[in-house]
Amino acid sequence: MMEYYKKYYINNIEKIVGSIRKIESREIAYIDFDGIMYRHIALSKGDFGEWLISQLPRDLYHSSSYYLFPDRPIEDKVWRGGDLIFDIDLDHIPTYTPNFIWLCNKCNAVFKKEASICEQCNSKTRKIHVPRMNDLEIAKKETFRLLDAIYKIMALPVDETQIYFSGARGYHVHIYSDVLTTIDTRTRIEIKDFITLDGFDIANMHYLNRTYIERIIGDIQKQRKEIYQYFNNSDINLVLSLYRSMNKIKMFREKLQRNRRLRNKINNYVREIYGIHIDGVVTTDISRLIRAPYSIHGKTGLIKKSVEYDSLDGFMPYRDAALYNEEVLVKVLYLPNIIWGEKEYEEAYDVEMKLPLSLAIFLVNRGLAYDTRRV
Amino acid sequence: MTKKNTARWTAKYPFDPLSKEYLKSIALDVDEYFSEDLIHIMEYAYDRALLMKTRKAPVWKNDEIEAISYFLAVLIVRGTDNRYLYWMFADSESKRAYKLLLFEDNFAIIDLVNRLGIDIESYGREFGIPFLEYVKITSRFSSPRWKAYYYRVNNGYVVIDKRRLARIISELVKDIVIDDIERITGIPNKIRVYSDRLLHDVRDILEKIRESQEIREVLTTKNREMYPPCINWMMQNIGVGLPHAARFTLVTFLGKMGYNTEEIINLFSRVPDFNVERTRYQVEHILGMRGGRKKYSVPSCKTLRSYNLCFPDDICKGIKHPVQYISRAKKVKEYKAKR
Repeated sequence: MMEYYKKYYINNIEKIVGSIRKIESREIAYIDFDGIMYRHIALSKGDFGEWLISQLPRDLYHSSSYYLFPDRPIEDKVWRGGDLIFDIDLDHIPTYTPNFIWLCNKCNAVFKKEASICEQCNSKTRKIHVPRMNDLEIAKKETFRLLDAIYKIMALPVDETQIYFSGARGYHVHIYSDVLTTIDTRTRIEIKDFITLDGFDIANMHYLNRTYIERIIGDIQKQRKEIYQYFNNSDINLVLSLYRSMNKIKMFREKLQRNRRLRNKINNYVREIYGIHIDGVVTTDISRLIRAPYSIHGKTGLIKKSVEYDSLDGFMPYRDAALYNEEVLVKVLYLPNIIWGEKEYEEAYDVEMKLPLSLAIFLVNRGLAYDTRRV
Repeated sequence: MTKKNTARWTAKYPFDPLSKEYLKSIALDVDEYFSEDLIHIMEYAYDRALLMKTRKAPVWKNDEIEAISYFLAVLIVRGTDNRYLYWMFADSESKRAYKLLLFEDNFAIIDLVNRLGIDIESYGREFGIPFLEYVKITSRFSSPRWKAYYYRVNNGYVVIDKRRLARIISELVKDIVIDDIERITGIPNKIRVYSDRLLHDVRDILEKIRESQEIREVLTTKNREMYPPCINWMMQNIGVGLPHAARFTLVTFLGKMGYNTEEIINLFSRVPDFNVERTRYQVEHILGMRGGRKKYSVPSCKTLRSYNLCFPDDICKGIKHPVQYISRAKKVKEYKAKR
């Protein structure tokens, strides 16, 4: 497998170096094929390529921040600014439920319902996460909501920005504009909270903005299905009667302050349904590492690839961010129904078959297949 | 603006770049304010500097004196070389500006804010301030009421009323005043006499601050009944699994309360994926015994709210930091016991 990484990195050095702005001011870090992490590396633009080929990382990262001394320990680096980054990841989206199978360690039987012991041979099983065909569309939809907030609602002074497929289960949005790279953590937290609605409390609402309560009323009238997941009938009636008394906003607030149970339900609904689900720490923590653009994701074998806004809608990670497409023979334990490249694959169990190399790596890294040559 | 209007405006808002030009045109050499005829202006300026203590503005005599007194008061404050007094003076000037701004008409306010470098727009009776500027300034406020999601945000503008805008401007005024003070180098000795007098007159305030910093030694206790609801929630949910931010908060808080590493590790042994060595490493790291040796402090209420870890009760009202809860809880308990 390392050979393929090498081949990819030799062919794509320029692209990687070109995508990491101010590379010499960043901390570079990587994980090697033994799973060991190395940090606090400083490299010039000129040295980066040679270094990359010689170290051959399994996962490659750079700091979101720029430093005066990127190779020193974190307290001595001297912060000079940092990209404003938003991270959309399926794991942070409450409407997404991951899909698992249980695979027998001995006889390779596959179970789609929880089974810690194999029903056929009584051996232990292992739980493996398996992607569904449209999982990543959920992340894409959330990315569009995020971009809408950045460009239209907050209208941040964005002149340099880049959208990336994260290489695994979501998207990253990097903003490089000077006015935004110098803002402090406190301001980043405010931006993050505005997007996620973290800390939102309906009892703090005042006359200048009734948006959220009005949206809830709208959802009740439209009978949106989530309403019934969060509220029972008496809650709904109470919300409606409270809304009718809204001309006295003070009274509305006081009533909610006394009814903590309903207040919490409303707050949860607002955060989970109207909030945009990003991994907030990535945005607020200015001493974090982020996967380098155009590097290979060690767990999926997919590339963290840039996507233009106009082509995001049609972007298909398993086609557009997959690496080599020559076919190899692998022993597949379980292959989910998936579109990979241009081709749709049917579900398959315990079979030896030819697959595109990228799909083979994807399955092997998940423990869903293995290389027959090694057996 | 007519000359008379400019004088009036400068008297009210000397921090405005427009006012500064006018100030330059009328200001005399500092020495001249020590002449018999003008020494009353010096005294007036001194009263203005002392506003930080008296909270009572000197009676407005005329616009020119009012304007010049700002400039002289800045010199007096600078002469103390005491950063705390810089801040107190800036604070009293900012409060003064806030009160005056409430009486200005919207157009005058818009012009002023534009001159301060913020592109602001009129939204009917309200104002639209660019989102980024809004969050930059309000991120300093501890009240959650300022969160941007409590306001209408249209095409990059946060819509706020006059009272709130005046509060935001007054926050900007603080920065400008401190900058005005710090930019001055070389204080004439005559001014320093006033500076020393100021230091003498506010010595009780400075003493109080020193004491409160000493008292600020946190009350520590291992009695969980005295802990804030957020911490108790975390304690109760250790066994179910806590988000990273909650684990971090809990370790810093318990460390502050005098728990040692072993006691903290024991508490965490109920974590579903417990691993002694990893937990020890992380606890020691957070408490500053390892790695960068940085001792992390307990996150503020504001930070905890941002992580959705805040579940306030009645005692929480008005406190800004979880450790403050304990002294307040103690008072409440004592009060109840008395009754």
